[in-house]
Amino acid sequence: MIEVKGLTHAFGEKVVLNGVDLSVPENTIMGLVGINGAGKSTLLRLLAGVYLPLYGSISYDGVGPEVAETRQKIFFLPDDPYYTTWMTPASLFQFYSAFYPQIDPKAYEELLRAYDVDMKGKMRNFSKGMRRQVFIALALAIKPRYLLLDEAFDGLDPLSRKLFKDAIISFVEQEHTTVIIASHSLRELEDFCDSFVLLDNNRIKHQGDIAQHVGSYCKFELAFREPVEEAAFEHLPVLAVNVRERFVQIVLEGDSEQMRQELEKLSPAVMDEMPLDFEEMFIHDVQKKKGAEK
Amino acid sequence: MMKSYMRSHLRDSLKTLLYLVAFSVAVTLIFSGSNQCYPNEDYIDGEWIVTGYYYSSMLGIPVTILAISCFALPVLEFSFFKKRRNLDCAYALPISRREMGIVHYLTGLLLLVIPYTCSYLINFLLMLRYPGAFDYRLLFEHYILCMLLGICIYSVYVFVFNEANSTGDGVWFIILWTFVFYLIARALFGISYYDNLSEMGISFMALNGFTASYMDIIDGDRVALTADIWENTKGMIYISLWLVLGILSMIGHYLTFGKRPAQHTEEVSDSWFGYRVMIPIYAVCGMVLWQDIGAWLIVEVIAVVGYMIYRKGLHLKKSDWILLVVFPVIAYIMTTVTALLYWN
Repeated sequence: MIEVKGLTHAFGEKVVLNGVDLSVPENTIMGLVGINGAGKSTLLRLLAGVYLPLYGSISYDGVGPEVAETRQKIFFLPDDPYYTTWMTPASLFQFYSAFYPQIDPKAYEELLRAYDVDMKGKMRNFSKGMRRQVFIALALAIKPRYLLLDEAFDGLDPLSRKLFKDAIISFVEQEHTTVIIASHSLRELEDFCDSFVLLDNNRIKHQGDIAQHVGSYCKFELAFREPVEEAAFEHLPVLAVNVRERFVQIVLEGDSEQMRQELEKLSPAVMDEMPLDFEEMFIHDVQKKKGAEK
Repeated sequence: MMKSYMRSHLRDSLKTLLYLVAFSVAVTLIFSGSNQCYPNEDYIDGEWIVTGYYYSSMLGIPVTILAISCFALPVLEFSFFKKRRNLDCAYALPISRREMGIVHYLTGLLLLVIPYTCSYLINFLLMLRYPGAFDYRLLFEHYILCMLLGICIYSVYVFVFNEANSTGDGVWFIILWTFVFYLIARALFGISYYDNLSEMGISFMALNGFTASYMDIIDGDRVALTADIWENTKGMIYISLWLVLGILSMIGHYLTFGKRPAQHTEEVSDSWFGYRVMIPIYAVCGMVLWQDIGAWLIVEVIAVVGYMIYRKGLHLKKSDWILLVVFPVIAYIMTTVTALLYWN
């Protein structure tokens, strides 16, 4: 289990994380989301032991990542992983096998074959997506207890994304690994993450189950007989509203049945509930915050 | 885990080692091979006639290779740690940072010693071409002492390089440390003790001072007496200074390598072993040495450029401007005091 308590980190005077508390249970996949500069990569680097926290603590089953033995159980895949110009997938495997004796060569080869990557090709000649595939195969072959992935889907084509997601799901089932993925591809995260953490303004704004979180909001499309003003919805818990004369699209916080009743009081001619996904919710959330700041 | 990493890193460094050995051997064969024996010609009756031969052991070749390696190897071994991208990989690996520092230090040491030894060996074999030309009794002593000195210099440079947050700053730190003792010695004792202490340079000068004196004996120009070498080259000063600095640097490297925060990488290098102290020393010593108002202005301009390199931009801090004003004042006081001491 990963426990983060009062984690604070800064670059000079710029505070990136401020008093972050987090608990990640075993055998789960957690999505880490937030706008650029929210502190996702910094949090992952702190969890991996690359950065040492300014204040607060991180522990894996009670031991911090600054201890080398703890890092034996962790594999961190950054957004721009290190490789030298002469490296091939085979030599990369050789390099990491010095540190992770449990690494499975068969699994590595199979995954690379599935991705159609040449074991002996120079990695400098690979596309960004291909390099990503090599590192993903490496991460899964190492079979760590804790897998930390930064921008995991970056550069992957749709087929590779699917392969990757399937591999992660079966990997978690078989190896009981805990996975933390930071990504901007929220639709991808929604598909296979058990939980999520939304970082905003140096802190955790929301955390929990994605479906439950999305379920706590509802989206409606309404049509009125006469043009309406945005002010007509001010009394409701609005996350986002878009008014175009007689037509309104609105995202509300709360139970959908209760919100439907509230909206019916405004006598719309037509009212339909629309599906709402995690990415759309995230966008509305960020836009609302930016609007409030302005 | 350290052993595994050592094995892995040595395997990665094997190609570099082979290149360095090949380069060292080639340089030795070319330069020593063609210069160990040259004719002494006299102009007699309108023509140049060979009247004898001079012999030179050319020990400067392996020693120069050693000196350059002392400078280059810390950069080669540790520049990996000066990029944030690389640290994401390195510091997430299940090995302590201290162990990682030791592995890179030891690998650098091997890359230092092996090419130097190969070069020295080739040079020795080339010397054997001229039986009776050289006195071999002090050759092994010279080899060992230069290697010891080289290891100390390498250790100092490793420590100094790792005090920087970027490769560029690290190279500057090494350059600044190379001449700082020489500059201080000249500025402080330049008038009365110039001959004794001015040779307190690093790397090239220290090693060259040693080698020149040994060559005097090995090449048969003087009687081979160890005591002469120590007296002539101020060997005790060299060895003591470098032994102390080398050991302190090794300890410093061991203690500090793992403690440098990764997020400082690629940022301004604020170490007390770098620009922060070196710019004032260079500026003040420069002014003491060149006591001329025009030269002082040039030194000030160089110091401003130095602070720009330090701050990685054109915007200097208020403290930098204050120091730039203070430098001439300190230099003036030092000049006056030195002159008074000299005349008394």
